[in-house]
Amino acid sequence: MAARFVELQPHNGFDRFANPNWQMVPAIGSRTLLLQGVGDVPVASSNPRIATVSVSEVFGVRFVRINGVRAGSCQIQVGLGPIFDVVLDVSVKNKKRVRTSFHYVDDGRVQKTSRLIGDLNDMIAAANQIVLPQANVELTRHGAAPLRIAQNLRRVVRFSAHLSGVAARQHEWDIVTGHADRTADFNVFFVKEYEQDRTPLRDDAEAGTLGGSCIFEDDTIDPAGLVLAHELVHHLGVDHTNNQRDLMFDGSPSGIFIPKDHANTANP
Amino acid sequence: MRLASLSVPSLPIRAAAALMLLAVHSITGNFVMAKQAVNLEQRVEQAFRAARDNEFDRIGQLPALGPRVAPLLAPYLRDEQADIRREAVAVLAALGGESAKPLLVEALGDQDAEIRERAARALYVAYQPSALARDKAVGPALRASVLAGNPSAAGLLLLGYFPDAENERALREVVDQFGGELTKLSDSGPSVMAALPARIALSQLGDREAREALLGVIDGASLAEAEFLLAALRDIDSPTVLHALKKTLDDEREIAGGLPSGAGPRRRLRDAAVDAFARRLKLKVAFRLHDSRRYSDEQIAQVRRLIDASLPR
Repeated sequence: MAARFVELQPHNGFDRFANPNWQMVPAIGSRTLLLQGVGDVPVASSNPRIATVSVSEVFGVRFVRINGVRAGSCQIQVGLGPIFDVVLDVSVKNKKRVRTSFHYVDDGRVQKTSRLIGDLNDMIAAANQIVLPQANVELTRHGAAPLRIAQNLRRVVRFSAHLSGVAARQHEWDIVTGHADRTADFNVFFVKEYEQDRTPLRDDAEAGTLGGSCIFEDDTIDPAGLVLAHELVHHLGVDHTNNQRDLMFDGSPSGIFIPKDHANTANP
Repeated sequence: MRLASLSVPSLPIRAAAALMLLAVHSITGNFVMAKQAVNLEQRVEQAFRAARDNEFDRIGQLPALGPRVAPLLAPYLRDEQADIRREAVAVLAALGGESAKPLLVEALGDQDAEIRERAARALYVAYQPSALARDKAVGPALRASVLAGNPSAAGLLLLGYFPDAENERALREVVDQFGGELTKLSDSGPSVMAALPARIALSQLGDREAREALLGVIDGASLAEAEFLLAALRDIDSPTVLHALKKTLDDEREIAGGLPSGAGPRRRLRDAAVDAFARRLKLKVAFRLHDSRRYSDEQIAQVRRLIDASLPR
């Protein structure tokens, strides 16, 4: 059996598709992996000022515990070197807090979200269960309040500024996001219906994120916590992928995996 | 009744009346101002008291109260709790302006790296670098913050506006020791190696080697590096580097910026390059700039001609 690291728990910041494999470790925290396919060889950190490593053996199974010291990157090297049996890239990350304000839009007509403030903490907890262990990103609640908008937002709130031939008044994005809390890092606006293409009556967008604001409709296929995590990672600069296992998959249903590149973009 | 005798009192009486009116106005005026100040202080205090209980809605209302709020935030900027200091920096960032500046500079020295980063970003976004450079307190505070481990690209880029041997040394130290670590300019922006913003700043300070290295990066730039360079175009002053960056006007790679996630047609790097160059060089283009749309080949060619006409080789 070739020497390799194996994750003990899925979606805990380990990327087995990266070469070398990669592990996120919180700056004040640790991660433990299984080490397979090697005998009693040394395991060391290339930079103990960034991460330290300790090895324990239980019934012949070797566990490698990586402790984050300070933000930065290093390698865990297995073997005597200079060519190691196996290496693991490690990124030690400080916690990235994204202070988020939530706005429950109501235009007094048909555009009134059915979401409830009382459900918000569960939604945030579900999002954090995805992003915190994998990227050390935490969404924190900065505010949550009903937002009464005087203008008629009609049946569908739209982003249409990029579409030629669509009347400017159809672009309600600016009206809604103009109410952002300027002291928050990220503003989420819950609306009844949102679209961002030429066919506003075909419901094929669940949310859109741009410039620190997200418009998020009521009727989502994926669970709301997962959509919130997806939009949060967009806010942190990550684009869509074609891998269904990824949180950033461009479609539904999506997975919750955050690969190395995405974690490093979201929380460098 | 003889109105004339009532309507024109003698000069001493008129002067006394005027003085009395002035005194009353001054007293009431001062009273109103004092009352407003107390109200302001109370609102700030109430907002931060609520924030200690994890209620932040009132914090979000503080920027609307205007620049007089800024000095009232000083005690919260020195609070024991990092969460409270973070809120104070967020309000200062939203306020901007002269009254917020010294406190944001102070926050560059916060014990928490994340708060130092937020302060550097706020200074980068809310102020003209040339205006910051006139303030003697800013350069040393920035340098100390960078050396203490400010992970923000904003702090590195701003150092380029402070010609000083110590600042150059600090930036070289970043390139040599931490150049491989990742950094960002904004939450939504790309992440790049810290060596890139450090070299942009060094180039601005006249470092020839850094300038050559920048040209090398532009030659084979990843999409993230190219996007970062365009986002930091304000901080690039070398015509040689700016001319080299014209190649982004040909780059068809699609980027995420300008549109909400998932919307299309997506913009290309060349569209972002048009916006960045037009704003950086104040080009008088014969079409409307638009952050969400694609530009035609003719419009892009026009921008290229205007760059050539406005930048020396």
